[in-house]
Amino acid sequence: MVKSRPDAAVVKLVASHQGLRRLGRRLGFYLMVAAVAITLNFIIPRLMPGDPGTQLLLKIQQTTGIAPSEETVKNVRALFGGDDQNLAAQYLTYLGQIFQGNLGVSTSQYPTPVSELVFAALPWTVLLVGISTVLAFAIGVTIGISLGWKAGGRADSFFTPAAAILGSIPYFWVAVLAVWFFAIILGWFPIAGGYDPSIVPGFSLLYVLGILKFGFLPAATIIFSTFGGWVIGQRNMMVTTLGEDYILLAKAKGLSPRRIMFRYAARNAILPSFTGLALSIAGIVAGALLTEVVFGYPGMGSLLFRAVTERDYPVMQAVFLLTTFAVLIANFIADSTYALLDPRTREDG
Amino acid sequence: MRNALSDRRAQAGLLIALFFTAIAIFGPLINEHVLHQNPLAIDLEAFGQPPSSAHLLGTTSSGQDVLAQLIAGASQSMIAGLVAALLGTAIAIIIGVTAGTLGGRIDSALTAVTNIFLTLPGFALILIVAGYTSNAGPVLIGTIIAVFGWAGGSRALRAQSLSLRNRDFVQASRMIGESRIRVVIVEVLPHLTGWVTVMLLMGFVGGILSEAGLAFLGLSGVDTVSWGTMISQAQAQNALLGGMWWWFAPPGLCIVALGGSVALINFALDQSYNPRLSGLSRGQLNAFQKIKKRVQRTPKSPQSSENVLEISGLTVEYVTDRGNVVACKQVSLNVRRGEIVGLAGESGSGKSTLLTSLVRLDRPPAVTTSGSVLFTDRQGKTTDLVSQSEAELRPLRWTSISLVLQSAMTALNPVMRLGDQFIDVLQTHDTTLSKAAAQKKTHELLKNVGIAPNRSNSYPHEMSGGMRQRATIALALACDPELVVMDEPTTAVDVVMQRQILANVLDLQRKFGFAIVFVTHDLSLLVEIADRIAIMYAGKIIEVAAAEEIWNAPQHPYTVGLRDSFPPLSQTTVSLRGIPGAPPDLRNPPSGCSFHPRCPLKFDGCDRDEPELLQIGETSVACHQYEGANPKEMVIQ
Ligand code: SF4
Repeated sequence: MVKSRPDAAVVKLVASHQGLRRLGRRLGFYLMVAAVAITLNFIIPRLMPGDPGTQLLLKIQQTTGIAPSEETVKNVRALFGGDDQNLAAQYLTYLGQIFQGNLGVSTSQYPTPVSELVFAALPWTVLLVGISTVLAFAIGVTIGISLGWKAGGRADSFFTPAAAILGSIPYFWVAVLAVWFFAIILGWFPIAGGYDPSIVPGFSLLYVLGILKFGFLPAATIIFSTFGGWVIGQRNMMVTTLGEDYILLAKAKGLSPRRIMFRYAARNAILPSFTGLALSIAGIVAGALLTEVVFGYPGMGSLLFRAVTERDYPVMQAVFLLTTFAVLIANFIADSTYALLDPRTREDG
Repeated sequence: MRNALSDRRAQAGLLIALFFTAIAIFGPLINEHVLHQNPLAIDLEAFGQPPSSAHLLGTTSSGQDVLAQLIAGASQSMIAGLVAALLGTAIAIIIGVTAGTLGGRIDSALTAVTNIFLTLPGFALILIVAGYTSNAGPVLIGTIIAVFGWAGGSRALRAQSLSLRNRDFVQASRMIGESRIRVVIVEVLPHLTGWVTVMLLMGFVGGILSEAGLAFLGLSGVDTVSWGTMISQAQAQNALLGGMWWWFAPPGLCIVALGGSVALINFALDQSYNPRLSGLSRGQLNAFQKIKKRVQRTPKSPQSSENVLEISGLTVEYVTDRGNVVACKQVSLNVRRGEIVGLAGESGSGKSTLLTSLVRLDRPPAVTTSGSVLFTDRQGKTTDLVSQSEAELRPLRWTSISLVLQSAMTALNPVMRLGDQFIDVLQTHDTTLSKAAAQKKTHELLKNVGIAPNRSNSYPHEMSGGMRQRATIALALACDPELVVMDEPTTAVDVVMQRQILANVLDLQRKFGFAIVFVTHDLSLLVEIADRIAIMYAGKIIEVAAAEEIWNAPQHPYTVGLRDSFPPLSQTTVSLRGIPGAPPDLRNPPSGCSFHPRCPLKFDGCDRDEPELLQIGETSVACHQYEGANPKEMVIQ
């Protein structure tokens, strides 16, 4: 019955190896989701009523007054279907185009390539969503920790249900109220836009300050609309964790309440929040898209809004595709953070 | 369920939700017959008017009545919400339960699909699909939302049915050959009601929010009125610059009110399904405060004692909103310096409650309501631990009494290296100790239990179960305590390891001379290691005697039964006789002697008077048989 015990170095090596394997598996999963997204992007227009491809070509002809070039036709057909090639061949052509970064041309801003529009908008959204998500997470988790530490207390019985209600406030309405109150009535912030058009873009202090000024309200809106979710999740995890044996033992050790609260309880209770972060990034992005529309913020949301109102299918599709990729990358970051924070490389399926 | 509905927040939520349901159903009638307004009628005479008696909530910039629009929009939201909730939950149930119940390859495939849908940004998908089908009504929107939003629920349901699959009752119906579908419908689904309800509610909230978002982007039909469209039109037509708050504020408020009401119901349900999450109620907290003040205000002026620990009259109660339950009643027990005292009893006997009380770590809702725990240190200074405040206790902890818990896996902080869990307690109690010195001390402590010093860099999950348990024992000795309380410290390891650990503990005890209170349900094990043994039943100590007396000449009928239900470790001949009946429900304890419903020797009066713990020779016993008798003549066979 005596098992030979591997020494610590070996155990550690195996553990970190498992950690890498786990990350590798996650990466594989995300690649799979990306493949699914690329395929959906191919299928959806072909499932839609009418013939989006033909409609597009007509539209291009209307705006330009001349028949679209052969190459444009080929491109549109690859993306939206409707030509004589069989599906498999279409799919291959489509994949080829995607991997070359060719996402077609915008019909509403013909003949700007879609990729140009999308890549101009992407950084704005990534910045806005990234910063506000990190802040909302930090704020929500901190509040959740303190509410959970004193569960049942006065603050808990008020703020926790309040946070539950907060989750049902639509982002865009918060945005509308914020514009109305802070930008119009108080005049503290610009009403719309992402930067001051009178300042030359670049890494000048003025320009950056301008971005902050324009980005403040949209970011605050997103933070306000999302932090409640973190409060509840973190608070519940904190309560659950406080019932654990290692908390009892930490108290028996006579450690200071601060140390128990942070090093023992919060440090463990925060782990599931990172899993939650990975899962909710998609939802936050959705909300951010709507928020951008209200603020006329020059990101993916506004781009999508214009594309939808003008039925600019190529732009719609590209926004979907790139948003998916961005969400997947964010997911992977959240996942890796989790793996860094949790020494157990336990796989929970 | 009933708990949740008695929650005031849930009631408020339900009321609001019902109100909006009524509006959604009777909206057109109200508009036509009460308000006499057509929500879409354009009235250029009365555009952009603030609230007035003609237009209770004012008009839009094309003179449409805002109130009429709000009322008409209710059904749009409701329908989208309902479709999203019902359809989404249905898909989640089918996929989640199938995956969880069938397992195997089907499970892997379905789980992969679920995870993909969970990760895809559903809203962006919904957007482009809605973008193609320009005139999307609420039913279509609800459907799209359900099709892209079921995955979260499905994941939860899968996990639930997976755990149900291995439970006895499902296994049993499988064994008797019931069809899988029948098993799912009859056995599995009823257990998932809570989850399904939560899913329906959250699906509804998600539905109305997504509908509002899509409508805001102009993706619902052109001439349908919806709260989302109202806000987007208000924004597009400069209601913000014009300060027409009556136009853009009410629809948002309606969304918040409807969504929030459902979220509140969900919140209350959630808390009633996981009572642990709700924490203590206000009533409990107040009762706690009062009790704590009382016990801390009456400090004993303790006399120095030979005993390291003297527990007397210790009573622990569970404070609930429906009255208190006594879990430990008037417990008295002494522990001599360097002595090993065993505390035995079935689960539910109150031994764990007593243990947490004597280390002053009552797990709420348990609270020590009276009695004293006198601790005397080596210098002869005696303290009543019960009357100390939390801050006064802190420096005494671990240096006077330390603790070894049942499962080392859960007793160690999983995200901290083993050594750090030693160093923090060492440095807390000796602030002058340098990190290096603390490290050195840790290595010594680990060496005591046969763990290599380099292990202090390991995380708990990197060690074997036996090593973890030995590590917690080493940890308990870190501050040279005078008493170590051990709660079934060897139940989680195999027999070989159990022997090793016990031998190790006894060695260390001899070497350092600390006393031990060893709590277990395993009487035969106690007989081997303990000097004296106390037996607990229904929250009371019913017999205390030297270990060999307990084994050879138990006095209390319960002790006899307990002894006979264990084979001694050293013998193989077994005549196991369990004790018929079950331990009493402490919420409703039997009258008189709490053992009388199970006692083979009970006689007239046993169910009436409570027996006191009487000192008879070296043995203390609480049983009416011994009142005024000489116990040695009445040894029960
Ligand atoms: S008091 Fe009566 S019922 Fe209780 S143990 Fe003794 S004989 Fe049995």
